[in-house]
Amino acid sequence: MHFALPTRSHRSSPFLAASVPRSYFSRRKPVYALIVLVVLLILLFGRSSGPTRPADAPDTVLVLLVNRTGHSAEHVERVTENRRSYAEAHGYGLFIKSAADYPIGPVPAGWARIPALRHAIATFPYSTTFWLLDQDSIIMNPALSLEAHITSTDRLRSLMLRDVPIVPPESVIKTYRHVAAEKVQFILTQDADGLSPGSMIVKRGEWASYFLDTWYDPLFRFYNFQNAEQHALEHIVQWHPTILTKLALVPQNIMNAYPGTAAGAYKDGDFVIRLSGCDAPKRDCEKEFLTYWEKRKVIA
Amino acid sequence: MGINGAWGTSSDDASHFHSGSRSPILPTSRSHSPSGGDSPSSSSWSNSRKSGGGGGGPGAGAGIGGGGSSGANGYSSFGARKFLGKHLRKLSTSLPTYTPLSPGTPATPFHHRGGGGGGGGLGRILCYRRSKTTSFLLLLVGIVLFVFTYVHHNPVSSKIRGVSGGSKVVIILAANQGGGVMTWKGPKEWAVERDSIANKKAYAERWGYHLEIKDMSTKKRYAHEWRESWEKVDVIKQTMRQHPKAEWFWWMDLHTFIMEPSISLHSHIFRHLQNVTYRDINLYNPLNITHPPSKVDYPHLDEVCYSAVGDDRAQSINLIVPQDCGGFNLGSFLIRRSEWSERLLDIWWDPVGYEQKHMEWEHKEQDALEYLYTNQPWIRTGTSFIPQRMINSFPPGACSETPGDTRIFYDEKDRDFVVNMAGCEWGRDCWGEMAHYRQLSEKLNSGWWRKRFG
Repeated sequence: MHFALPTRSHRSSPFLAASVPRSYFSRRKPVYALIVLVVLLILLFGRSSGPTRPADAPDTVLVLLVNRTGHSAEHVERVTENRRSYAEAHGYGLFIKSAADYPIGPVPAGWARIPALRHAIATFPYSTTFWLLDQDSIIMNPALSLEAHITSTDRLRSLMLRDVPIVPPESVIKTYRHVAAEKVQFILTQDADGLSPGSMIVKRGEWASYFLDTWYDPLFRFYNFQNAEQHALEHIVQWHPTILTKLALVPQNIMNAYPGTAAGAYKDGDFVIRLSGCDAPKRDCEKEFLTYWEKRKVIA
Repeated sequence: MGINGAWGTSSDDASHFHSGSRSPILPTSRSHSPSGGDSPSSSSWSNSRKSGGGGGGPGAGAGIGGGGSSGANGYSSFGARKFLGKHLRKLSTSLPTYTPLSPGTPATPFHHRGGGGGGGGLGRILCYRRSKTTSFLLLLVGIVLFVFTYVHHNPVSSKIRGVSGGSKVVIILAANQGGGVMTWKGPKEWAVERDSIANKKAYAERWGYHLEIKDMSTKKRYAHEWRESWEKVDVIKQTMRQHPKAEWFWWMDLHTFIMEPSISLHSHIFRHLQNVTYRDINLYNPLNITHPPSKVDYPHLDEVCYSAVGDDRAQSINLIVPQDCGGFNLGSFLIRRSEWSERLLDIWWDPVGYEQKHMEWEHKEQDALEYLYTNQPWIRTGTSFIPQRMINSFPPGACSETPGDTRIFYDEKDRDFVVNMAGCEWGRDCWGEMAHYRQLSEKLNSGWWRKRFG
């Protein structure tokens, strides 16, 4: 039988036998498959070659600078225990360093907070919020998560103090009226003297590097500001709008309540108490600490 | 025959197009020759006209009628053709010709009916014809346009360059430096200023860049007398506000001269930022700055800061600074609008730093920048250096402590881009140097081609 076209059965066709050998395809197939596989692998691994966020990376990190000189080991242990239990309860990271770890030079130890924060940001590359709380503080109400209590946009929007003088009662420079809560990179409180860097929240980002490097600049560090890093902070916040515009001031008792009766003083149920200035000659940090230590709430 | 059929159908479409869109009696249109037979000059085209008709096929020109009856050999040369004259036709005939297939098909009734039907076949033929004569013209026009708009220097071309990226660049020229109350300008100073401004103006115009001439005369700006003649930062900030859409800002001192105005900043620098700049200051480090920061002094930094090249991406380059024998040189540098540079411009001048250092920092902003680079690691992640002779070559008088350093001094053999007569006001002859380099630039860029286009 003759057909106009060869049948589908190649064997019966006189043409195909002379053209491309059948083995060609079957032999090359593995090569093609290999190429496809390699391309797929490159695509797959090329995309994921950048650092991927581990599942257990915390969003928030607590930063604690420990100063052992002049404090008993039990005291230090209580402080770290307080931070650790809080961090564990909320799944936060914990970054504990000693002030002596940073070569700040012959200046007050408070300066070490700045490199400690930057160090924490570098150490936890996948975390976004970094809360530095000084050793002289107790987290009194650990049920409050940092996000719900302070950093979430809506909450922060309602907390932000707008158009208030940076240094109370009446510095010329005031916080901006129209800063969007989403753009805030730095959350801070004021006490009666001015800005209070003992409890502060910094968001990861290029701005944080800029801000911390600037604050830590030797020209400020060795300038002998009367109040060391605190005055340096007030200075850069007031002189440099790129810093002021990222700053949110929140009421003091939100994350930095002092004992006493002044405005913003600690009352039961507040998040944090900070015994600021307890190392002054007539006060006793550990004794004050213990009175509040007993009152703190504990997460079951 | 199969081929013919295919041609026929394609010309069918063409005929529809032509007949629909044009009137058959348009004189300039070669594809429609309503009363072609009467035209005396049609003979040279009649052959192809016929063959076109042959290809036209039975489907061509459906429904078109009312043209001349003997369209087959009718082709009149109207308007354009007459105007283009004889030599063009000669040119076209000297080009390789192509004879369409199958002239033998008898003319169909459609053709006899005239222009529309013939237009189908003719349209195709003329497309072909156009590829000889008109395409030559188009090429000519294209070349002229290209030269006129891209190579030649004229208001239209600079406008085009401005629209296509040039307006993203602003040149800030610091005029009248140290003038005002401190010194009295003589004729030479005026001449220097005039030359320098004219040089930048011509360059900016040529490439469609913006030019801002800023008066840097010493003024008492603040009641407390701080910040006297530290206005570089203020001027850049102000210029950035004036040009909200510009991206790059090129600061130039008055005593600079652009030697090669035919080089655009885009081709010279911006198009290959990564290749023409270097991040690692150790390549040339006259100040002996420790780089990258040591982990002993700075145990708290991130990986990008510890890397000698930062993140090594062109996108993170925000400041491009040349270095001379004494360190950074801000006589000619580039800064990009970004959050990073906004921060730098904000922090560059600080009263506490100024109070402590203004006696020591003779070169003001320049020393301050060196200090910031040394002491604030974030600065390094956005700063890149450029070999000095890319934008800031020195004349022999400057940097006299390192004579013969090929990284520093202008070399006319290499056609360096810019000369900066840095420090000529201190005991050298600014006017003489400026005149020398102006003449040299004119000489180097002379020649008929250069004069007209370069």
